[in-house]
Amino acid sequence: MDGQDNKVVLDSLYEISKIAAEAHDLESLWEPLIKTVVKALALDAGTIMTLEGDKMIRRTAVGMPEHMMKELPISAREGGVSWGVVKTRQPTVITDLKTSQIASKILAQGGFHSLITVPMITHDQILGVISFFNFKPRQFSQKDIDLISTVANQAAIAIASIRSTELLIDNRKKMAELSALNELSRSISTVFNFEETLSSILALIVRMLRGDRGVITLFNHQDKLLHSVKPAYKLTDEQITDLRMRSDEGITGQAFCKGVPQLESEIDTETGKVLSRAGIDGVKSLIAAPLKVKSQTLGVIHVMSKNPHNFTNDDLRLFAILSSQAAVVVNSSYMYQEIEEEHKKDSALLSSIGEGVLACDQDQKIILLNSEGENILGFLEEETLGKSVKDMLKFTDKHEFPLSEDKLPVNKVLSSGQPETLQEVYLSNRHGENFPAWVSCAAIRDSVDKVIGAIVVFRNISKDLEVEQMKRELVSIATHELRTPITGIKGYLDMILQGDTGRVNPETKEMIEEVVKINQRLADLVDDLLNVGRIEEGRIQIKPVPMDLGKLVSEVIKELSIQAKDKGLELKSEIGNSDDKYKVKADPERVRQVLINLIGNAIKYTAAGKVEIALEKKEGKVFCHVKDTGYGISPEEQKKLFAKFYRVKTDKTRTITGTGLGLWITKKLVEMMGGEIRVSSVEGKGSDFCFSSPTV
Amino acid sequence: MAKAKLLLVEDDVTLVKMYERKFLADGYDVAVAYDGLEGLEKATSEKPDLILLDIMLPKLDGLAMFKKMRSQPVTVNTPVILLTNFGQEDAVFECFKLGAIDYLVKADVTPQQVVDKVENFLAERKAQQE
Repeated sequence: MDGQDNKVVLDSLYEISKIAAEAHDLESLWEPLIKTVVKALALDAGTIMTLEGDKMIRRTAVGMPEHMMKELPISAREGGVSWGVVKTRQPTVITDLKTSQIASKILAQGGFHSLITVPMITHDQILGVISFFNFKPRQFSQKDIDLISTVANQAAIAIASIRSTELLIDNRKKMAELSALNELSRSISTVFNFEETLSSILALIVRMLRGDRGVITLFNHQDKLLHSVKPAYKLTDEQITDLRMRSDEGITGQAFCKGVPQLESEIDTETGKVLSRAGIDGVKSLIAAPLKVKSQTLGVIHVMSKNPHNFTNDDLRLFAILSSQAAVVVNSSYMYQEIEEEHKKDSALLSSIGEGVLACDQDQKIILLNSEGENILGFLEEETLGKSVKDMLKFTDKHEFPLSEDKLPVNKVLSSGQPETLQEVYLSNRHGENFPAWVSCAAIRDSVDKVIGAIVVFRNISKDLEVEQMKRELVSIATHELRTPITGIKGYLDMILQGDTGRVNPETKEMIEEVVKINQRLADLVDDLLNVGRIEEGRIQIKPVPMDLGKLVSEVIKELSIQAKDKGLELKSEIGNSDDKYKVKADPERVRQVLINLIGNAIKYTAAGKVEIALEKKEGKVFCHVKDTGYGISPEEQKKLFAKFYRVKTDKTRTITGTGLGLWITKKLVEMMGGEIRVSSVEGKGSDFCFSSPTV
Repeated sequence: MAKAKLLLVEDDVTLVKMYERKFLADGYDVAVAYDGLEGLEKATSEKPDLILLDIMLPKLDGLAMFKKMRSQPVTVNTPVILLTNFGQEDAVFECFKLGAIDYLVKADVTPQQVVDKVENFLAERKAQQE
């Protein structure tokens, strides 16, 4: 290359790399790229076509007839010069278009005489072709061909990195879509291999600048140092690890701070120190350029030589151009790594979730299925991607009929945006086996709150149902297997006490009576446990009927009077002959249970004095007070009193037996009948339990 | 001469033994069935004066057995007292509609109270017949 040619090459490459580094998208890349080359090489027209699947699409045309941009994508079948170049991967030159068999007639009609078409190749992948035209006959020299090929390959790198960057940015916007990350990591690696690309750029740069070694250092925001990174050219792993410097240290620091390339024909002391720290010997001259993307400096790229004065000022300029190319790749790689990390975090999160997670877009195309989802459905994620949710999540109701369209959770969520939960539905797996499922579905929204998809969380609840069933069976076992022996013990003891087996001496009688009490405790506990189970499972049916609360209170008092008398307590009510005055709507059996519990408790927790029941009618309710002169309950204990298994434990109550379930059951029963219960109490004075019941 | 013939339909051996012993001691003739089918069979063949019937039974539950009894002439009028577990109000209610005389929750009563109940019923019926 002579001086003039060299300058042309550098100028156009510099322009192109600047265009590539500054381009925000591909659209803004095409035209300036063609214009630069057209101008630099005194051409008349140029065009870029990119390969999209099995079609070639014209991206821009400079200096060509308008209608050329309107032509349809060219398929491989149609052939032509461009497809020829794609297939051979070799540049094509046609000096006289009129005589060419393969060139489009439109070109000759447009007045063009000569053509050169070169492939855009990066990393062994062909991305498209660039063509240039002249009105006058032109013999393209080998130098022209080399130059245009270099430009085309530079363009290819730019295209690939912009594409991946666009993909990254695009997907950033759609971050709400969990799948975006998933898709991204797949597609990006097929579009662009950062490490290899960077490695080949680095090798190219070192060779072009006649250097021996090359390395990139990147600024670390945590320790504020520049650290060298892989890939490096001809440095050992250890050297890469050890090569790091302050951001103002040596030639690297200068390039980083000033933002312009630096040349050291002889190594200065500071740079020498940096190199010897890393065990890099024999460097006599060095050239360093900042890696800049837009306004940000990411790091510094270096080329080293064992010869002093190896680098010229021309090299410095070329270096500036080439480094901007590297900067674009490094930047994309940065973003990619960041997104990869987020992806890893998300997929770790998703796979650790013990529930199936499936996401789809607004067209109900599946974009994600986590590993538990794979287990439940029997499909691999890859088999479901892009398929319709309806084909993968087959819902049936408990009668095995498919759910109608308007009941499908994804349909509902996509149209309403409101979350949906389904119970008592069945899903089927890959083998067509139905299983009971719990399903929850919610909308995925973008940054402006528009619904862009749905996420379905699902679980196979066969096991849960089994456990439920076991629980019910356990209750049934409790009924039969515990109650029956207790009943048997009670029966036999009673027969002995009744004298069925002959006279019982007083001491034996006393002991048997004690056993009867213990047995009764067991019976009460079983009853309470059964009641708890029945209430929790909603198996207690309340049958409210009009009833006289006053009458029931009198009956219960009569029933419990023996207990009260045994303790020397007065048990009375202030109801008198009420006759229908206290009519309420309630379930007599349950109210009876409530009264027995409350009055029974009052008797149990009162050492001396009286237990008094009072009724009061107000606000459409009847209030029933059970007042005692017992031990009383502290304010703290009152708060916990109605909790399951809670028992007040004081010195005085220690000897009183109970399960801690009575008040919980009582409260539930009262509430189930539409009433309320509360307690007021003063320690040492007594308590007042009051429940209400709606009147007829 | 036994006071009367009872059929005890109860699947729990412990309780069967206990009630059988009590009733035998009190001078009754006692037949026993351990499930609903056997109960139905013995209700037909033994022609008891009174049946003590549990609800939760193998093969055929108490309610179903009672329904079948009411559908065949031999047993249509046989008196039934229910001897149940706690929490079977619904079945008890159904049995009352079919004409059960009374019901006792096993855990709440002593064998003596069961005997008393039976004795009272038989005495009342005798009074009516005379």
